[in-house]
Amino acid sequence: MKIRYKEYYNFFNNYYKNNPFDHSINTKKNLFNVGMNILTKFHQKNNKTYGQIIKKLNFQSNKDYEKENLPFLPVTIFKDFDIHTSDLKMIDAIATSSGTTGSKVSKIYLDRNNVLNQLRVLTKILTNYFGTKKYPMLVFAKKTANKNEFLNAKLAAIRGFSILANELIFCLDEQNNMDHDVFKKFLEIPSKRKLIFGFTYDIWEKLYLSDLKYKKINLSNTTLIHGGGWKKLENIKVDNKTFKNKIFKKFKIKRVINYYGMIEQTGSIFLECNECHNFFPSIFSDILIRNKNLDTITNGAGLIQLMSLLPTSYPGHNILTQDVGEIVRENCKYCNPRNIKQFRIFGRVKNSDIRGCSNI
Amino acid sequence: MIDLNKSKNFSKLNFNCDQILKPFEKRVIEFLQQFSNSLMKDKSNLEYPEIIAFAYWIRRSNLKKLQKNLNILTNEYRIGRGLILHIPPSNVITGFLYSWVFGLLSGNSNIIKIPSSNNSVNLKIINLIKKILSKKKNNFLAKNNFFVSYNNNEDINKILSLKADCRLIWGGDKTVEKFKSYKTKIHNIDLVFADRYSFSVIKLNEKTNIKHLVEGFYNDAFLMDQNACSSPHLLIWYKTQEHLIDNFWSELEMKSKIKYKIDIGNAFKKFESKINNLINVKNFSALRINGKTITRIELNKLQNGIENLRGKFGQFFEFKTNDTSFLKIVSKKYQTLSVHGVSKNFLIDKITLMKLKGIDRVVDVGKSNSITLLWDGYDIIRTLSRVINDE
Repeated sequence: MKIRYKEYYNFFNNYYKNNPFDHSINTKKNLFNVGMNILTKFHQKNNKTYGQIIKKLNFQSNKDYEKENLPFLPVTIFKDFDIHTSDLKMIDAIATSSGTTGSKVSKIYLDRNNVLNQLRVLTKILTNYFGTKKYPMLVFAKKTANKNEFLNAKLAAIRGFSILANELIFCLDEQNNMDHDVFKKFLEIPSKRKLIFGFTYDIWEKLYLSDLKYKKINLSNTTLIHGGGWKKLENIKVDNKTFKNKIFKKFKIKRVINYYGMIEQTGSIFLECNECHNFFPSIFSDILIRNKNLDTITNGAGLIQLMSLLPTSYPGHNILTQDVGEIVRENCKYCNPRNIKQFRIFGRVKNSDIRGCSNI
Repeated sequence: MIDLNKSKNFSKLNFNCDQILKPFEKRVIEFLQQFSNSLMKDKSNLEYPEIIAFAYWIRRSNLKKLQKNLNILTNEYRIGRGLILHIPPSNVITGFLYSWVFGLLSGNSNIIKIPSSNNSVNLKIINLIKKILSKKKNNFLAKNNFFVSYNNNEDINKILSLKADCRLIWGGDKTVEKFKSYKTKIHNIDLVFADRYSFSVIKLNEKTNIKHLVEGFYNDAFLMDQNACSSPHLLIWYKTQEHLIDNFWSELEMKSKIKYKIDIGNAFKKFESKINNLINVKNFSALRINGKTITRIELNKLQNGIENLRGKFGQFFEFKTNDTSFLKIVSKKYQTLSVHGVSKNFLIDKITLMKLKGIDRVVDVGKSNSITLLWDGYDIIRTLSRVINDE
């Protein structure tokens, strides 16, 4: 057993019993902070590279820090280095980001315990939000049978969200187009409620823009869940509001839920509030915003720092992302009384010009 | 600008280059003076200090000075070699301009590939050039200088390479390697400006005017986000006391706090490079932070390969020493050594004595980014021209 794993294990199993959206001060502020410190020390003791970085950054190994002051790593570290806390022989799967061709992909080393905790937490978050009853789910992906050691972001997401489904219906054909026969069959399934799941851009391109020749489509009993970012839709000026409106007009889908999460922190995802349409954390995750000096700020946009109590086989519990976002305080009858942190995402930081003649 | 993505536009180029001139020909210098005036007149150029610096550099008086420093013999018959193909760096706005001026001053015709970055600024400058060249007295240049653009295309690279008498290839090692793989004329001469590394040696004593020194060092390091070939990444403290080193850094911290601006995208890159450096660095001794802009990694030993670790946006490696054995780490990759408090001649003697492959410039701190006609170890004007011997 890894050094100090037991401490984390005891903490986590106790903490897990809480309501995933219990934002009381004791849980969210005190206990979460305790958990982050335990996890930081766990990686420090068991991951040589991580331990050295922390030491070089002048952090003290036995001190507890407020979460704002804990060490964090750039999300790109999983692209630039092969970094993991569990021994390679314990690693079950390597999850990879859906990077564009040519660019480096993130490699997330997962062992059994870590995967298990991801699934447990995701189940808890999703069932608490969507309910425990399962429904047929149309999935925007190809059906793949082979179990690959490399798990890409899309597959990981489908695997996670499939816990809401009693039946998975994969609707993309070999050419990655929507198979209309499959879609029609989905429409005809007699179920009180149904689910559609896919990456945001896939939903737009393959569902919304596809030429549906059959007449009326009424999916008013269907919930659409989507995530994976707005980068491609930003270019064609489609934002969350437009997306929801268009989807409603065409398919009568009233409930469209966006989620924010990344392969580096699978499991502890952020869902969109049904009322105010902002994202909010669960008790397993938190978000901070940092300005260009990397100081934390509570007003205005900045780089998003994500914390998660889940990563144990790799040091991804506290990362600075390349996404820009902002903490907001909007009137919301759901979030406000529960003291829930609301936030908004503006997408990936613009690739700024660097002066100089060196191409590195 | 000629768009070579359309193949019919090739006919607009003149590969005959019937105009070969003498270096520093008066007409050329007059043209550059006009160009300088026009750049200065346009107030919008004030936001680009590098454009202003270039405009100063091509003034008649400065060019005369540069010419004088070269000591080209007056009784020498020297003319340009013919047609030069320029593959300029993409990240510096003025990169293509300096490259072109090298070609002009040495008496050659030029084809300049315009990088796709900084598109609007490039276009504005090229339109200005076009306007000046359209004047009758500059007609001789208009017919022999072409600004071209095209999407990355091996075929066009190859055609242009085969036509050139000289090529000036700037950029990362990959660009240079690619162009070197193309066939060229049998007498073709290449000047390659590949990726380089630069560092500083500083000796402070109680009398050093640290404020003045920091002014120069700030310009060397920060004006190009520490990302130019000549920007310093490593500081060697030579026979210097601790408290003076501290003074230097506090002074630089104050200076950069007021002057240096970084946007949020680069703030991420800075953080990424800091963590990556902490992982990769050997002989780590301490990490020190001065304010929000300056990160210092002190080394307890200098080893080969330190040139592979770069600071960006205000991150420095530093090493304290009382002797010159640090020069042992120098490889071909090393370009500029900027110096304060130590004699330049003393260091140049060491470099030649130790038969080092690298270090092409030893300059005072503050002069790292000043381009001269001797660059990356080349005597540019002499290399791009030929001598007719009458003995």
